[in-house]
Amino acid sequence: MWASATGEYRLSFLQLYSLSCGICHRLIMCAYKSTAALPCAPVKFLHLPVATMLSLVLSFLTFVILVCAKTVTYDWEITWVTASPDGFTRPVIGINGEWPCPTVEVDVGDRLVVHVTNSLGNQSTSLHWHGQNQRGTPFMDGTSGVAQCPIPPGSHFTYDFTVKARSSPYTRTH
Amino acid sequence: MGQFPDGLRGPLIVHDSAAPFAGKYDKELTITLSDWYHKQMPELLGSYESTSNANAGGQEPVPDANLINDSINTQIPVEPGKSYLIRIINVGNFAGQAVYFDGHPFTAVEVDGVYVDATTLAPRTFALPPGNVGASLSTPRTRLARTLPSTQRSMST
Repeated sequence: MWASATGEYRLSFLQLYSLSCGICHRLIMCAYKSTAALPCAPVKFLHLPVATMLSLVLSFLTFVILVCAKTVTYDWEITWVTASPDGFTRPVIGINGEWPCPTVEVDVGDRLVVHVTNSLGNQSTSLHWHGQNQRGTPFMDGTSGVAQCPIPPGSHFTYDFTVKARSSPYTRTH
Repeated sequence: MGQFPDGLRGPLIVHDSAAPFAGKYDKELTITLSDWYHKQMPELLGSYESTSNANAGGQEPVPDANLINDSINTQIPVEPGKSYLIRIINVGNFAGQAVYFDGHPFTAVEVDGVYVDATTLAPRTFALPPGNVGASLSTPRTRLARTLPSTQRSMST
């Protein structure tokens, strides 16, 4: 679970399902141990009762799935702001009222979801993820007029793709 | 439309636990380099694509400043003896940048998304055209070390 730029924590459906499986199995194991002593010896595998082994395996899988392949979500409003990085004040295009634009941090294989609202007023826009191959998702490439229609002023668009291993700049398409 | 020279650009950092240099450093840094214009892009594009400019040889507009981490007064504190993975991204429009860390050793480990055999670069520079990214490992030398990147801007015509 990682926070988005607006502080939201997101879990995918698979992560939620795995978490609930893990919790259910722990509850079952607690109930099993609290029952009266059995008249015969429990079935064992690798010197551990089968139920314990199953619980360990399911708990491990739950942990692995929870820490892998998360969804990272950002909510961005593209606006004009004023900045003077070298002492000369000029209008710049920022995100959520701030400039410099925020850094996106993800892990390989994560699903990146960016909800974009164009509040520029006088220009359409898009976001190009330079260096991402967008295999299977060319419409998320942000090349307006080529792979997507530009996002007109006042409109929204959601970028949703799987990230490959390459740090790079995200930019408005050139 | 050229909105990224007007400021709509930033780093997309992808962490890869399977990278050959994973775990071989103490901390991570991200450094963005860019050229910077005082005029906005619609005006610059208009003059660049004009007939008079075409007749004059089609000169690209010359940037007014060079920014490191979107500032001209960037200071990046580092600790001597600790190793850093430094991701250097050229988010500029036109100018390539040649980077070196004055007085500190640095080793290229990734070039434009491709992992490379660790290659010590100093005293040579790490050349980055616009849009490219490199990563290097660096261990600052001395207690008084306070210089990080120096960049030389180059513009091809």
